[in-house]
Amino acid sequence: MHGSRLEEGKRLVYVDGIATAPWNRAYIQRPPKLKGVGTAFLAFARTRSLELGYEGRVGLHSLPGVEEFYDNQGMIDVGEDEDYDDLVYFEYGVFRSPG
Amino acid sequence: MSQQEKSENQSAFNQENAVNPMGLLFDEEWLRKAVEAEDKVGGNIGAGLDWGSAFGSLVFNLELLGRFTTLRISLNREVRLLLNNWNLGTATKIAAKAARERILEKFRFPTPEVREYILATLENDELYGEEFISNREILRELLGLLLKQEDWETIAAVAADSLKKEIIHQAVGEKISA
Repeated sequence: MHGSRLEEGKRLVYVDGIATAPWNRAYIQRPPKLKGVGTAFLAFARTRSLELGYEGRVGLHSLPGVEEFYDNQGMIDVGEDEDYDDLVYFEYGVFRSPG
Repeated sequence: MSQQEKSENQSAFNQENAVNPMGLLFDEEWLRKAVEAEDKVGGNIGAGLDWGSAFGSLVFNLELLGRFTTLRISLNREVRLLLNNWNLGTATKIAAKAARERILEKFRFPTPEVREYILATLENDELYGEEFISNREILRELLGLLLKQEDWETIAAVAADSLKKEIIHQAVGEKISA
């Protein structure tokens, strides 16, 4: 189980891994077959977090070069994590409806 | 669609996404921005430790992947703490990185002895449940099996080379070297 790094003592859904299929990567296939899959994964993780009572908290370690995407998604950049091969850790806090 | 229908739909949408982030996927404007953000990184959305092709089948066994990840980051942390205690200064970070690479290499190509120990560790339910394995004795024992004399020599060489480059860089910057 992983704990929140933004709010000590709070649980979250930690995403062990996300990988995009090759046919959805622009540098392999133009145009990509599908778009929005990564976004859907994250939305699912937040929904699962709500279901588990973790209030939408989600954490993950970004692959190098993709940090900008997680920034754009509104996740908090907590910084490089040496124990995770210097990957940058991102976290969603409590889910609040944008409406 | 009439203005009233649009308004009703929007209201229904707001009620849905207030309780379910998946509802955001049905908000065209929100989804368009999200896809634009994906496009900026070439659609290559990824997260989590890189295991390389040797561990491709791990993704089909999520529990095993989780335990492998826990074991790997716990060993990474243990070797980092060990090196921190040695007061290596600026070489600590590069030495820790080199050690992590050696550990991953041993995971990829384990000797029979290492393989057996790793499997036993993965099967030990008591070790898993938190982000890191807390039993440092087991971690130290495994580190001893993974990192042999030649590995420490590699780690030392990488750290020494980094330090050498840093000194030369500083000397040139300070115009001390002719």
